[in-house]
Amino acid sequence: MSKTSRLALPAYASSTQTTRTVDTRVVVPGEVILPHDGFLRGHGTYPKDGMLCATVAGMVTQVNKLISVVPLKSRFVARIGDVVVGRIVEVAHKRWKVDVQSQQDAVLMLSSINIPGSTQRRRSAADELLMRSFFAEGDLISAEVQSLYADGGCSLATRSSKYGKLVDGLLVAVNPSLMKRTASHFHSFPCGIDAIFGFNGYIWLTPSPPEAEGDDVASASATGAIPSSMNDVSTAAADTGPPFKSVPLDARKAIVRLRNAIVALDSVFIAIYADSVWEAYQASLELELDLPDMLHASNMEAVTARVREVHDEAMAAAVVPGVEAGPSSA
Amino acid sequence: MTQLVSPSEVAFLLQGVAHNLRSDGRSRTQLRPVVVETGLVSQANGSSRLRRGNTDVLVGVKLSVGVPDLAAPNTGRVEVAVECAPSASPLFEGRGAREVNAGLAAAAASYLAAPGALDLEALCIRPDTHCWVVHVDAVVLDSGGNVLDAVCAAARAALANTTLPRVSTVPSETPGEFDLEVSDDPDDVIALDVSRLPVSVTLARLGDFYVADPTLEEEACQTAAFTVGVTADGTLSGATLSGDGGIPPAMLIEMFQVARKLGMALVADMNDLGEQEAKLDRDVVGFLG
Repeated sequence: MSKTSRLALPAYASSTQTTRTVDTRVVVPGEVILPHDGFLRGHGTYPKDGMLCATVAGMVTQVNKLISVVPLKSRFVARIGDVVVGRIVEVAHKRWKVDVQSQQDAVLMLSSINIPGSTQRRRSAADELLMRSFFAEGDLISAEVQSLYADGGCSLATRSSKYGKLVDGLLVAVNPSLMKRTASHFHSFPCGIDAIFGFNGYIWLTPSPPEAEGDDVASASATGAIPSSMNDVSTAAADTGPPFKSVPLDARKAIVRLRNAIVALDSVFIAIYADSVWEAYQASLELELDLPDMLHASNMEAVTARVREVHDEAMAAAVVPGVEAGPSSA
Repeated sequence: MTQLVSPSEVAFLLQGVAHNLRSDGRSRTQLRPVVVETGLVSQANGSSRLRRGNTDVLVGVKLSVGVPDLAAPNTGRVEVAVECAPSASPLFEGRGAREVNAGLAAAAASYLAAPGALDLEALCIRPDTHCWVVHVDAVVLDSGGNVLDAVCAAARAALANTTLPRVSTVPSETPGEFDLEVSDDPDDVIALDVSRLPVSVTLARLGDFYVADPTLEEEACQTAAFTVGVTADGTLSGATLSGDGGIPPAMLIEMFQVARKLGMALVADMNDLGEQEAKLDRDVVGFLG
């Protein structure tokens, strides 16, 4: 059913209301935050006529005397240890350039990957020639941020069996500022789908690997285990890449439903992590929504309504240090 | 357009198309939901903003008085311009945008300014000397695939939102010249007749199948794309084929039929919603929505 809708998307006003409950102040560019006297100006602010004003739309945060505005929407700002999902955009001298929705492309050094089928050794000139057979342009990888550069760039590493090339799945791109830092960014949903919540706003969905090796059908009960097949770089050794494993229709339906739940959360501006996605997924099942209908503006509201409630309660309960003594009360 | 995809993603996508379950849950011949809002540019004679998935297009219609072409002294004309915002896609940056803009404008004009699409004779104020020139200016604010169809649909909504002031010519003091006389009543206007204006429907060939309203990822995997203009009564116009690959004749015939059905449904939906919106008493939400 392709019913068109002329309803405008939900206004951000509702989300600003919720943030007010934790005494956080939302400002728009040019808005006066507070008198400059006695405060230091941080990111997202500028002084004007003795007042501090906002340069971006976002939330005011205060650390002692430092006032800054954290933008509501921004590119990914890397921190060491972040799990990211990225796309190779360029093969360069001894390194790959990786798109991670950051202000610049991240760098993946040849020395920061596990070379297929070998133990630790120095990278040789032959390895440089083979770089495209490890990762070629367009390939998706999971990695972690290894170090940051002074200019805002970052370098990645895949030197762990957890990381590597991603195959047989679907990428969802969301606003990076909605991603939530959690204990583990690898998650297995009970519907038989594994997800990697890249902190950079790229989310990878793939069927959980079958428990029995060599079985093509993803078992719906597979849980927990880190998917080994997709992260094993050794499978990438062949020039053609690993053969595509067929994704059965049931698994595909679950992937698409999760994907649409994530898109719905993204469009109504709710934090995206395993619990919120699962909540939205369940809500869409309870509402008996067809997969494509989940993306209608009114349905996206319905699907995410309960997540918002839970989220608001959690936000109200959590007393965030630093935010509590927000400048709005100063 | 150029969007990097890995071989595995291509395989995943093609298998989804074969299963008749695309990555956003649609079937092969299902369009994405359309959100249209009209009349949000107060300076324009008619305007609309249309969103379809991530694709976001703003169209303004400006009317000016010009001189009819010598070859057709009894008609006005339609001029289409498209500008892709560089923020929408890296492809729209710098000089590369010019080619994209010109291509989209020419393609959109082939549907919007086609003979019979608009009643061009109604745009004539006085033969040989005065006619309305309808400038359709589209800005592509975000690109989520199938930009051409979004531009055409948005242009149709904007033209439906456009009204012509009632103007007559009176002899000027200079002999042989004429002055324009605009009606005193600002509500004394003529609505443009868009009943014969087509929308374009694009079908992308993916492997052994074709899909309607392709997303950016699907466009990256397509071997060929087929676009045809469809009017409310199902008249087809301006069929074009783009991309590197071909389409087998049997598939092409099927595509014509599917595009016709989809196009007619889309026009009917858009007309419905136009009426619904006209009845709504509300403030323009525009870009604050």
